[in-house]
Amino acid sequence: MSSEKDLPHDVVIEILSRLPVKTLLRFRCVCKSWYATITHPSFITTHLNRISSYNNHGYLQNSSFDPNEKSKWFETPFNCRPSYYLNLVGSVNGILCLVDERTYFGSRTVYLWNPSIRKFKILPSPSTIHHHSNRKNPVVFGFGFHRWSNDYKVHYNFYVVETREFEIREIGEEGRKR
Amino acid sequence: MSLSPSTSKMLSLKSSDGKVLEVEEHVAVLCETIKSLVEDGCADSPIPLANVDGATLGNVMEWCKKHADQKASADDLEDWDAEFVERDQGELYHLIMAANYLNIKGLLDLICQKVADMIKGKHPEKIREIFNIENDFTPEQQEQIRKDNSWAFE
Repeated sequence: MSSEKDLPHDVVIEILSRLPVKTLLRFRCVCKSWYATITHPSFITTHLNRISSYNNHGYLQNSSFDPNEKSKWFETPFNCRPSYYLNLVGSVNGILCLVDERTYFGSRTVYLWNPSIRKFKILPSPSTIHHHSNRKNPVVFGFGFHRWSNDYKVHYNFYVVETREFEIREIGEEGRKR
Repeated sequence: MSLSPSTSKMLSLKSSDGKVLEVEEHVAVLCETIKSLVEDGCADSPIPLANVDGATLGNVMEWCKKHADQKASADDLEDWDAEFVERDQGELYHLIMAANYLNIKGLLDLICQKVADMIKGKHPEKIREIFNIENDFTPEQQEQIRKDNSWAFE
């Protein structure tokens, strides 16, 4: 296509941002410059915005639903069986946050999973839950996207009856009391 | 400044290979680059377009003329556009460069979508051939990238 000179970088971005995820993962190995472009956070945002502006055929169903309805099944890439202990905390921009409700010595496993690139991440288990969480002091997880920092946040909140404290903590950081 | 068809005057555009094209102003101003010249009163003829050859300029103005036509319906334009992009890679390359240089968003979007549809799912080797890209990865690096997302190469 470019026998005389290369396409300008912004034109390459225009073209790549119109491609499906699978093709983009494949094109990472075309050359270093394409790799850098495709993996850059600003390109990922551009791609996400473009795809979500004309793609409205995917949606997520959390609980009971009619299996005859149009739906897509995903197999979790991480070992978490039986799966009914796996709870969906929320989903943002195609990323799912799941928590394994089984507790091991008070702590729970939190997963961030992006099914479109088939990658997942296990978040550092919140150890403080170990001290507070029990039937009386339930823990509630929350998942969201922080626009300013362009980052995803998982919070866990709990109310400690004995001290009458409500805590909101962010996983991966030292919490702050409210 | 009014740019409606009834008051439109003619503009001369001069391509890189010296060809001069007479185009109605309301058609030519679909190019943001030309529109700025007109608005600044710098559009004295002929306007030199050093980065666009005559054949490509003709194709670009054909697209602008169709899209400046107030009577064309959205469906009509879509069908027309689909036919317009049925070209070989060389022509598409020149159109993309011209649309970028003349700053015609609609045309740039159209051609970029066409190229994306052409390369979707293709093998990286084929992509290097189409875009004339040199593979600057070592075989080990290449293998690592493939391994990280092996399912995408199936």
